[in-house]
Amino acid sequence: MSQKKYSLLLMALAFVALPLSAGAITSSSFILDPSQNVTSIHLPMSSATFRLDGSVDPVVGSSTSSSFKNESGDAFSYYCGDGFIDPGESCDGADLNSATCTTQGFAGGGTLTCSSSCTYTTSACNSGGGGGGGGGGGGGSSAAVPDAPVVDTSIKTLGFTYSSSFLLFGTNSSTATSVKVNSSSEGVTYPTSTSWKKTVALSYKTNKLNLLASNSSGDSAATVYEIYRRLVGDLTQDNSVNDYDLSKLVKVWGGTDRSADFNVDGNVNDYDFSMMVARWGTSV
Amino acid sequence: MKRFLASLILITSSVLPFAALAAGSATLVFSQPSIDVVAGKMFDLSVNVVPNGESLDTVRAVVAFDPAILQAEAISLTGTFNRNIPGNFIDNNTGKISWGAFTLEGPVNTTGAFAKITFVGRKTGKTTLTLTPDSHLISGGEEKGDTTKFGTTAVAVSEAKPAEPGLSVITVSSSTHQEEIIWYPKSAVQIGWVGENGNSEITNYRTAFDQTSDTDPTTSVASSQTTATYKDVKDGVHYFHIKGMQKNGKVTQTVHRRINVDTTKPNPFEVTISSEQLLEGESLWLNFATTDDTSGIAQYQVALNDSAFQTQTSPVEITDLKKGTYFARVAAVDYAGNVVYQGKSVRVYPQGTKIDRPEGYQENAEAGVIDASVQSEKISTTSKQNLLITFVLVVVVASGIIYATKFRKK
Repeated sequence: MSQKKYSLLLMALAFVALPLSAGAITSSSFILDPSQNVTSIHLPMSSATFRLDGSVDPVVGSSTSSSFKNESGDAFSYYCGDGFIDPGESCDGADLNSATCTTQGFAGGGTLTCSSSCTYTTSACNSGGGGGGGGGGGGGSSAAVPDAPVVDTSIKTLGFTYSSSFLLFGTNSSTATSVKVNSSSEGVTYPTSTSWKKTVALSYKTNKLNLLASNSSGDSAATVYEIYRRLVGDLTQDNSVNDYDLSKLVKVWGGTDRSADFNVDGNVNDYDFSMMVARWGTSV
Repeated sequence: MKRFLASLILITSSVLPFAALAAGSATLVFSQPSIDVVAGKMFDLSVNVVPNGESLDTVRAVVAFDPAILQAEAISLTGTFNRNIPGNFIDNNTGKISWGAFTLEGPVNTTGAFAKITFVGRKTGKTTLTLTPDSHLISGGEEKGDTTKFGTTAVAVSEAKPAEPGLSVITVSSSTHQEEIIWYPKSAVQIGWVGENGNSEITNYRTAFDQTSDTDPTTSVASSQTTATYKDVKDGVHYFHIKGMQKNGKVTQTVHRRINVDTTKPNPFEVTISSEQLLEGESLWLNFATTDDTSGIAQYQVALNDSAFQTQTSPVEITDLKKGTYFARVAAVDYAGNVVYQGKSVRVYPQGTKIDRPEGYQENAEAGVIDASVQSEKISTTSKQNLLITFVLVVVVASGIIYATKFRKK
């Protein structure tokens, strides 16, 4: 193609696309405004029934809102500080990956933040709990079998979850050297010398997790933690999604009841209803 | 044997009352005990909810009818239960309507309308409309319906009288809502009509515009007028009714023109994805659905980054994703063309990247369950169709054999 023809084609494309690129794509939940940082030209996206006018392609960068994150462009690389939690990062910016001081082993709460190297900063977390009284005096030459691990009170009576993976955490005695979940200490981490956590995969219905604390003297008595994984939408816990589940959802509509807050945004609303609708008639 | 039967009766009689108590006392009834209609004409029938002391939040009415005699044309919610439930359908092949709705305006404990069904008489005959026991009246997740008190309506369809010769004929059209069966996202309705005079001219018209299918119009309109405009028409099924008053004192047949209006977007929705972090070679599953309270959801369309939107059914599997960040967008489109969007982003890492996943992590476990459910529904539908085809074939073959046998005897 000659230089002249190429220029003409580019100009024609620019005339078609530029007025469109100034328009914003909107919905009730987000706005994409391509008028910012637009450096490339795209034709409008359209179909027989509707049309999206605009271009959304910042060369490098991300667009975020309360409901989505988008990063695009050919030149980006995964880096700490891009707002996405990438492999090797515990957190990134404001995204703490649902962690709190409590999940990091600080029973007294506080404010967990993310450092510039994408690891948790716990300096504003409180260990809490107060002193536990004097120690039990010096021990013998070998440590006794540790006490059974304790599951944190915040998850102890949860009963059910809609998630396929679950962060199990709690405390253990200082004499324990490891905690085993279903006979395996793999994946168990220890935020402090007396706390432990592990993300476990859950199957549908009842999950029984056997917890043991260990040291050189042996394993503790077992703590059995039981949690039921429900199908999203199955409020009645009968392993199917139907009219009765909807009725229960209606009952707590507008509230914060976690039994119907499937997207875990703190509200029971249309978005949760939508997630139920997407699984309507499904059984496990 | 006698002892056994006595025990059975005793057990049954002691269990049955408890079952009834557990269900509750709310019921569903039709607005009329009987209806007479002429073949080819429409009529409306309301389903009413009678709570009988129960506080209801969710209702599903399942109506059975003879599809040879009646055809269900439309259904619309008319009371406090104003939001549709998934799984609603009208099936004119089997003669079944299943329509559910819920309310967010607090529990309903007073008798009121639930939905209005418009039927048309297909052919002469008698049939009974029944509210079947698989209807639901629910409160806080518990069944509160008393199926023994569900109502019925007797319908008699009589032969249509032949049109009187010489009567004028009126033809109605709409420039804004061209087709009767299509939904339009326009609240301004423009109607036009033409009166073809018979052996006596039309001196004036009578018109009406409402949400009843068989209204006898009463508003007088001059014969010179041939259009009517209605603004800010609310969402739903509406009818324009017109008849002509002839100089000779006779009245033309009334024309009922249906107008479908839906200006509201589908309800907002959530897109769930199998995982926000994937490795190259793994599939991305998108799962989504929503409802629309007027015309219903026509289709979903999906786009990835700046690709064109494509029509898809949930759950959607996207494969062959290369390293990068993707933004999946889903558009829910209702039958009037109103659209609502939602999106979700996902990152795809090169193979070998250590993604923090719990032991026993199953890729796309939930999507698999939902997909299996969708597939089994398809198989079930196909099986039913196959069963029907087999039945028809058996009947045809059997008829052939009987006919051939009789023919031979003769």
